[in-house]
Amino acid sequence: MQSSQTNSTNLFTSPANVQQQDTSADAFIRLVDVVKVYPGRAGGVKALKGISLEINRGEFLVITGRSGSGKTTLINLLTGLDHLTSGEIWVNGNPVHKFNEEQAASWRGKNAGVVFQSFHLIPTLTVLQNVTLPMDFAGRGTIRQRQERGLALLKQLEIETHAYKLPSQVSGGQQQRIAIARSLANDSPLLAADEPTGSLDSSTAQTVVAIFKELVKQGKTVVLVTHDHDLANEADRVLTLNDGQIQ
Amino acid sequence: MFSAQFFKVLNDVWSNKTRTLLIVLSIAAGLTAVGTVISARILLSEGIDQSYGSVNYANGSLTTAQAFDKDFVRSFYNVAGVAETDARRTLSARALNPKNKYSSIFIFSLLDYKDNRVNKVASIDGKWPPDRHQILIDRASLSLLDAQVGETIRIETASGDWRSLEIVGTVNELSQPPATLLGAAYSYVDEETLEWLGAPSGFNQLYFTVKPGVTSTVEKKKILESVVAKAENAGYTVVTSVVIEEVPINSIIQTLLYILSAIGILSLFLSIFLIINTISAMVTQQTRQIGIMKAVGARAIQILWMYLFVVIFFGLLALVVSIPLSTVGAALLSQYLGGSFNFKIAGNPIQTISIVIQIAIALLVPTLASLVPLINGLRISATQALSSAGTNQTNYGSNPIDRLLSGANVWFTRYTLVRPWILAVRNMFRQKVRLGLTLITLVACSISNLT
Repeated sequence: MQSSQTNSTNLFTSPANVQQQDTSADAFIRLVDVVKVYPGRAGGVKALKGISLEINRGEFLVITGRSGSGKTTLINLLTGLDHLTSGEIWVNGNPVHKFNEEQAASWRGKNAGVVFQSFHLIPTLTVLQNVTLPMDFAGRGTIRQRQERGLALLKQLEIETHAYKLPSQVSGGQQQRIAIARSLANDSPLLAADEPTGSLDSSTAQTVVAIFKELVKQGKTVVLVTHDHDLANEADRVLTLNDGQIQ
Repeated sequence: MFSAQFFKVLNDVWSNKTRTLLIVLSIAAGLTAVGTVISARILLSEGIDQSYGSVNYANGSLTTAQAFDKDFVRSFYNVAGVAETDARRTLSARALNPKNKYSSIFIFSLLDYKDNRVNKVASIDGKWPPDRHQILIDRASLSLLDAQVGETIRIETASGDWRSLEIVGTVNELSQPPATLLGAAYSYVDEETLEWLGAPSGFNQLYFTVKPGVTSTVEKKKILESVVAKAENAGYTVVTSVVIEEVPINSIIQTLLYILSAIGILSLFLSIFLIINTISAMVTQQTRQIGIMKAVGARAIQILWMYLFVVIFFGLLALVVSIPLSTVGAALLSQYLGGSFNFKIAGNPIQTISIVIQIAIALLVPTLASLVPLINGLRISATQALSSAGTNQTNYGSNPIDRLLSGANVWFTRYTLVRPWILAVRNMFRQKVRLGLTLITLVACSISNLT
């Protein structure tokens, strides 16, 4: 990570977001009795059984739990990647539970960056193009400005030398940094990460955790799903899910 | 400078060259077929108009039992509506070429070679008009006779005698059905020579054209009736009389063009099915990438436009193939048909309207054809797409065919141990629409080939 705080602030946090953080007294994320049932035979599978939760702006929340406890489902619902069965989800005052697929995509592009365990980079695009892609979809700035911001984000994550390589030409840790850079492309106030260190060695995982902590310092709200107890120890708050409920 | 979306599109086209080639050739096949037929149709129509414009093709004719002379022919100018008149006599005979090969031959004597007015015969090369015991051969008939200018052919008379005639030139006959279709050669001699070959003296076939402005069949029939009445009043027995609606090859050419158009449209449909299948496969292959794009904020309409841009790019590449191919195809087809039907094709094979239609089809048809698989592919949610391994989420097992195959699987596994075969069959039935389109394409190809 680059040590310059000024640079980091410029890149990762827009003045508008800082202002929101200062003035808003309400919870940044609010879940009210969220239920998610995956349809199937015998009534389907109830993945979340009435979760109610508040997450503050600038909080680093880690969600842990066993496989199948509903962690990934919760992240998917928070970011509008999936629809809930009942309940309410409010993020920064937006009713995510009411969004259809298109509205959710549009909202997510500007308000929620998502990082996945398996990186999910487009293999035919260069590292820089992968980072600028969300800005293209959001229609943010000119193409030149997008490239400049993409390069700045890559520099912030110390992978700018790989900007013109394909994802397959860099290591797993570097790919996760690219994915993080991509999630920051539109300066989203929320960063949701699903097992971001799951595919990385411990040393690289530590670096990624450091990046998240830095982002939290800069005012981002980070919600992170992990099995990793060391990573959980770094969080402001740890939430454990068990069988679709908060333990 | 271009956006990442643009590079995604470009890389999708370039990264799978075999697929790109397959789609481009699929589109190009349909475009070439349609473009060839459109251009050939225009070239043939122009060729017919130009060739027949100079022939002054007859609007009506009558045949009499008795022979008539030139004065009688010219007397019909008095009949209201008649513009020009001319006459012929025809003798049907057997010819023997220098290689002792027999052929059927029609021998015409024209009323006036130097003042040919209706159903004009044009001299191509050699002598015009022929002298006594000389003969001119229609250009397309030379191959039937297997003879050349300068050679002598022998004609069998009605009495069984053989007469020798020197071929002194070639002509172009457009007022008769193509010689190659009838299997009989057309030839031209003077009045005395035809008599020498055993025909009665004088002429017995009268041709006339109507004045400009007379277009309806009813009007032409009335004029014909007047001509017939005049001939009968003059003491002639009219054996046949007919109004001629169109040039003889027009209906044949039109029929051929309709068949070619049908094949062109069929090819276009086949290419549509191939496009749907290939785009469907492409979307299935890229399901995860669609999920990634949705996850980073892409709306379905934005992704749809990206893939449509790919499809439009395929269409443009197909045009690069189809425009030159259809131009060459149209030139070859029209030259072949023109040659077969004895008229010249002089038009430019690069036809703007054909190119414009090809561009419209190249941009519209693949775009519309790919909308169904694209919309189906984009309907999947981001989470479903991200968890996809490149195969569509299908509800396999929800209908009787699937259950039958599953039952068969158990039976075959138990009794015949051919599980891989059944697995292959079940995989085939996973995408039933694609299977249906593939079968339709194969059947349509077979029908097209049989046609």
